[in-house]
Amino acid sequence: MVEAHAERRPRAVPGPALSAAPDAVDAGAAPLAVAEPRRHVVVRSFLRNKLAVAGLALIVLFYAVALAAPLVSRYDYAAIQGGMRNTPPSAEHWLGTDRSGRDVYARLIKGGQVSLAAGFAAVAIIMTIGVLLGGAAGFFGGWVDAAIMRLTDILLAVPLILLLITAAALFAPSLTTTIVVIGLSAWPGAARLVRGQTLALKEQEFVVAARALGATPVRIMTRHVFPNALAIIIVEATLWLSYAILLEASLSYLGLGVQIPTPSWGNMLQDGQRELLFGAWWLTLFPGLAIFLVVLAFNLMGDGLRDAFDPRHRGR
Amino acid sequence: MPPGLWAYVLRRTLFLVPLLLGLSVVMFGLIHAAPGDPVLALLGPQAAANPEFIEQARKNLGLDEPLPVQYARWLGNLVRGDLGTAATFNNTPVLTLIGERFWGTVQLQGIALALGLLVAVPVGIVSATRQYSALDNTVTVGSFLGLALPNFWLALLLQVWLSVQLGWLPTISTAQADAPLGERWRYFLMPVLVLALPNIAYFARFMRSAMLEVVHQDYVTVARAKGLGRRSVLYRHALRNALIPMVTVVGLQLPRVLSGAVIIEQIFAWPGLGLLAYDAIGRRDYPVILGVTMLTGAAVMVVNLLVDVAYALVDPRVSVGGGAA
Repeated sequence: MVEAHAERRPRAVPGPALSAAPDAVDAGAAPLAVAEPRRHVVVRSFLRNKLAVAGLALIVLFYAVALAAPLVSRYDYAAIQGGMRNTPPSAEHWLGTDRSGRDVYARLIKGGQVSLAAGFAAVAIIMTIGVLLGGAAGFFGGWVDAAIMRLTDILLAVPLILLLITAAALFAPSLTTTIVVIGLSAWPGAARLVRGQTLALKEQEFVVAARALGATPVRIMTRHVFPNALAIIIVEATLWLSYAILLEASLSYLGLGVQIPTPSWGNMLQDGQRELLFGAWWLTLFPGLAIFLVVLAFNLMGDGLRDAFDPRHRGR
Repeated sequence: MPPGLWAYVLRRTLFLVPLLLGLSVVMFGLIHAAPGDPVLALLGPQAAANPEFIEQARKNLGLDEPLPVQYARWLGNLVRGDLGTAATFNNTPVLTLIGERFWGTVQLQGIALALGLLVAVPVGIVSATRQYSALDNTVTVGSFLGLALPNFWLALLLQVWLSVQLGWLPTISTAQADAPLGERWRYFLMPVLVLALPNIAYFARFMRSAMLEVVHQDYVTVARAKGLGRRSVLYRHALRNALIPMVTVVGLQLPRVLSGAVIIEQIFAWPGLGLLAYDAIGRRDYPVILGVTMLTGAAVMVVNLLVDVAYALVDPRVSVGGGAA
């Protein structure tokens, strides 16, 4: 069987595929008790990877700043100051002000809240649908598998950005629309991954044993298959986070995502683009830099997690 | 060609029909489920004052009929190769419109893809053969940076710097097609660079890990053990096998090559399919949106099939039995 099929997944830096096999044969039977030592190994292996730890630190920093917004900025993100139009970065306004005299630093932090939250919500939808449909397809096989896989074939045939702008533009663009549209368009890649994992795990001895003992499909899925596929699901979700944030930025930049006055990094880029011609570089530079750093951080962390979960890669 | 391959190709080709039908239902449904009124978008807000006029326009466009009837008519025309006319693009037939834009997109994306491979494959090989050297580490860090860089942001900054401030390159590409041949590269430079960058980062990293995977295989050790030189082993044994997975990776890029990069085309006003789709969506021009998505979807499905066949041809280990992929 040829399996070179296009699977739309985040373009993360590629590495060796994770093996689905659990460390211990009985890990599925009593996941909590046996998983503990393995978790230590994973954490230690992750912490040894300097780039991955740097990524994690950057993410923590971004979220801390986004959560502590009122404490770290003096200005309100929506407050318009007359006479302060397009002023360059200064001691008063660290990252300058925009066309309406609003503080760019305050808007960047608020925009970060919006972009990071949008990314999380979209990935939650992607992974929920992906795990449910991918798990069902892999576990039940037959016509369920065929129906779900053909649906992914169809959705994967339309380039994602085309699907996104069509759906986002036809329905009134807003933060919610953006999240839902990304979530509902991007799940097929995740579903295919989970299906593959489920297929591999289904043939493992401990699952066969559980089935022979009369475990119900739901129990097998939740207690045996899912815990062992969790590592791969976490890695996938981390990589999707960076991609979802990029997609949100793209949509908002095109004016089809989060709408002004609510700032997001994408629509700040769109807003600043006009002023770029008049030399107001700070309106474009900083939101883009923020997207760049967050995407980089999630990619580094996802890559580190993948290596840490993969026994073949540990200690390298 | 192995004997089983023809049967496989035939089965997959036949299977494209239900897939394309499914795609048409999904896209037609999505577009018609939207609340926006294409007639209002076409005629402008002033027309709202004249309901009779709107009703007549709706009738002319066939939008007053029930959805299944509209779908059946559209599908019937599609099968006969008629994608309708683009009401908001001077009533140009959709197929003509797409034909004009397709070439622009394929040129731009094709060059960016080729440049990506040209740079990334050697870089990936050298990086893998000197694992953990300073060069290898630079390549690793560089690919992380290149992949995380939002390329439309880079495009905006380059555009202002190179075109607006320094005046070295044309800002937008509308005049590109009419420019003399010797001048045309100036229009291509920025979009190609911006599109090639993530390709380079991704391909280089992939080439590196494919190469590393291969050099640890037994047959490479055997080749070394029987006394073949390092270069001979690397380039005659390892490289040929490491290039096989690249077929898939390049195949994965093809949807984008065929559909165009919406944002980059929009920034540089590049006359391609991505910009066409973006404009059509803004104007609620249903036949154009459907035409672009259907043709792109069909092209992607065919290309996926070709990639799978190519894979079977270059890698003798791959067999093509079993059910439909």
